[in-house]
Amino acid sequence: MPDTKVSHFVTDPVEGAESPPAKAQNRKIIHIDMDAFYASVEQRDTPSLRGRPVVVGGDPEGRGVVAAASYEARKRGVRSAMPMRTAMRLCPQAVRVAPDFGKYRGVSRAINDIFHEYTDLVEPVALDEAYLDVTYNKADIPFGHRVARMIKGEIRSELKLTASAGVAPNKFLAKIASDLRKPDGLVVVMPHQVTEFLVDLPVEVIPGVGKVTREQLRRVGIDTVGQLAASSPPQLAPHVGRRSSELWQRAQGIDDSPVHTERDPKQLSAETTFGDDVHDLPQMQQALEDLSQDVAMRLQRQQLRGRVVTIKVRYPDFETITRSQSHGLYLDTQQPIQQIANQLLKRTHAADRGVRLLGLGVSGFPDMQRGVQLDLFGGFGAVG
Amino acid sequence: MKLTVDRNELWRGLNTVLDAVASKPAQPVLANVLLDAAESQLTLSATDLDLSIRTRVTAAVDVPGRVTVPAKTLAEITREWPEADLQISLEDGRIVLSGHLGAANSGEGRYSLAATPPDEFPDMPESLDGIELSFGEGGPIDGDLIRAMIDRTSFAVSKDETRPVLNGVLWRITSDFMSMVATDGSRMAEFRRNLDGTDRGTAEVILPPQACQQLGKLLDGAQDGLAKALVGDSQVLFQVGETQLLTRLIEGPYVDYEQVVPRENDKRLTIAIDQLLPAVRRVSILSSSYTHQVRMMLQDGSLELTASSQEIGGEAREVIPGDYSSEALEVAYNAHYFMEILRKIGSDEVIIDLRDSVTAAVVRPGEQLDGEELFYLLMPMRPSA
Repeated sequence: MPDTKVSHFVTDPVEGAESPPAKAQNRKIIHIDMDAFYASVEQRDTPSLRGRPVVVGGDPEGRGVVAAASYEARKRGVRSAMPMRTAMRLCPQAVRVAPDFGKYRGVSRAINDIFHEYTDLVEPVALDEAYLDVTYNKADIPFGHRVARMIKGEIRSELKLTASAGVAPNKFLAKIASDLRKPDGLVVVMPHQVTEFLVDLPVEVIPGVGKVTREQLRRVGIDTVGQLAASSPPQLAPHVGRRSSELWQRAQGIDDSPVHTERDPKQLSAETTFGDDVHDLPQMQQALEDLSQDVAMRLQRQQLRGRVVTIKVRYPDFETITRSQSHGLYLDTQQPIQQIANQLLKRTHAADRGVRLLGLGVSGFPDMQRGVQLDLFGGFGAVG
Repeated sequence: MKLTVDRNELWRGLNTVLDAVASKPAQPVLANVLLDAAESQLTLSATDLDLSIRTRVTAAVDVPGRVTVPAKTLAEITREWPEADLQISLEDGRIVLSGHLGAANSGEGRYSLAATPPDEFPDMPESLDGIELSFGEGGPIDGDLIRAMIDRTSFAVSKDETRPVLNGVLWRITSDFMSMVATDGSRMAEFRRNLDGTDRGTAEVILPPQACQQLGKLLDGAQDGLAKALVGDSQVLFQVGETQLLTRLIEGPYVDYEQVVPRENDKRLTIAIDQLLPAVRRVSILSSSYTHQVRMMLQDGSLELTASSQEIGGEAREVIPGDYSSEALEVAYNAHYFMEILRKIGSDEVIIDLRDSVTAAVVRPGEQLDGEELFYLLMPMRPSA
């Protein structure tokens, strides 16, 4: 088994070294990102695909986009979310595999189980990506990078897949770190390395900095995170508006956002995009049945019950509408959710106009905020 | 190895050590009990690596020896054995139990079990490097007191593994006092008793709750109380009569709990537990199954308890008289935490000192013995809008 590449940023972390006093700097956050997840699962399960460019996605003749591309396909310029047609043109020899989300969900659950061996503070971002807070972990391991290495090792030995991990004092830095040495990377950012780690990175590494903001910043001579950090929120405000102080904070490497476990969502939903516009009512109802099944299963798994059912309908001309209905009881089973969804569908023009997308959500969970237990030690943060 | 032992003695010994046998042992040998026969004594030991128990029973030893045997099976056979002598011997790597059985010892029985050599069995030290707390001179520490302390505090230990120090009971002993503290952040228990000033040594350690439970159990049957404790860096060894209990310690330091005890709670409710507890229990039937939240509205001379459940679609309200004369106050608690404290406090009346809807309540028994202090903190739930 090949050794995982470990990249400690700048210098190796010294075990037991003094950390800066600020509590927030002492968190140990891991961002785990599975490498080319869907494509790797397909290559794992079908030996003939190994070593070949694999593109997971819908039919190139339809509206499909690339859900995942193996590293072999990425070398040819294939990227996620690219139209399948473009992908196949860039890499004609690629093997196209239709996505099997049921399978990926199963693998994702197995990965999640591995995470929970170490901590229950897991924030799933997608099937192939999650944040973990391992400041205090079940294995009592004092070093985040060691936990990350153990998780990577378990994913490799148990699931025959590779993951890249970033270990840092916050989510923002951990996410950047996990992306630096893909695939199978492990990048550690110690609290004292934060400034150096960020200084030369382009400003686009900051979430929310897209093309527009990047151009705005470039016009005032800011290309790197270091340059952004050297400015000030008032200087930035005329160019980036309200977000100036947030961007500036990120440039300092500051991000206090906690790892949110999936316990308190506002709405639980699922949606389906059809390959071709659907005009057939039974076919729409079938889709709503599948969606209500999916949503009910997740509600039950998370022990949530909601009283508002919402459907989302996108017509062929892309006009998108939602219809909602409150119910007297809190629901978490498929049948009543499906029934309400069908009634809601009748209140749209789906039958006449056709649909290209259908979505279903349940919201209106009991107000959990009201029941929050206060903590004796909450006032001074982490204990121990 | 060859010896004769009274069935009741052997059962007492096995029953004592059996709690240290893990239900899912980390290694096969840990499902065994170590038998060590020497000098008219049979020593039994068991361990799950975190907790080890050793005890001695009287036996007539013909041939000394050491061997390990499956603990649960040996215990089952012994439990079913009539009250008579039992011979234990090692024959060709098998342990053989034999003796007279049946009415007037008319029958005979012979049971043989596969035995494992003792080499793989983890050594339980007779002693530890560390501070010896000798309770011999000032008299042993009263076993009933320790049991009461464990019973009234350890339930508040945290089960949340993200705060490891809170997963244990803080046990402190000096010449002047002994105390136990447990908290999970939502509630806290402290029980403190003044001691007579005899120098027994000083200790401050975090005990796992399983060890507390075992210690309480040992002291329950003991005549002399706690005779000795050896406190090492990572373990502590307790001596109760012929039995030794060795436990791993949870690494500290413990939280600075004294800092969170509110000092400015200026509103006092005094109320009979047999009025308050049943009311909380009834009202909580209609509390949310997510939060178990029960609201408490305090007014001159009375206490109103309410709960509502959106899931069930129900509401409950009770008004009971209580001794309260401060300004009106509304505060919400988790009914389970509240009831647990009321059940453990062990008095007829309870005194609850409050400040506002976000400060911990200080809950004390209506009467305390001289030199004894028991109190609980109960954190409210965030008040509803």
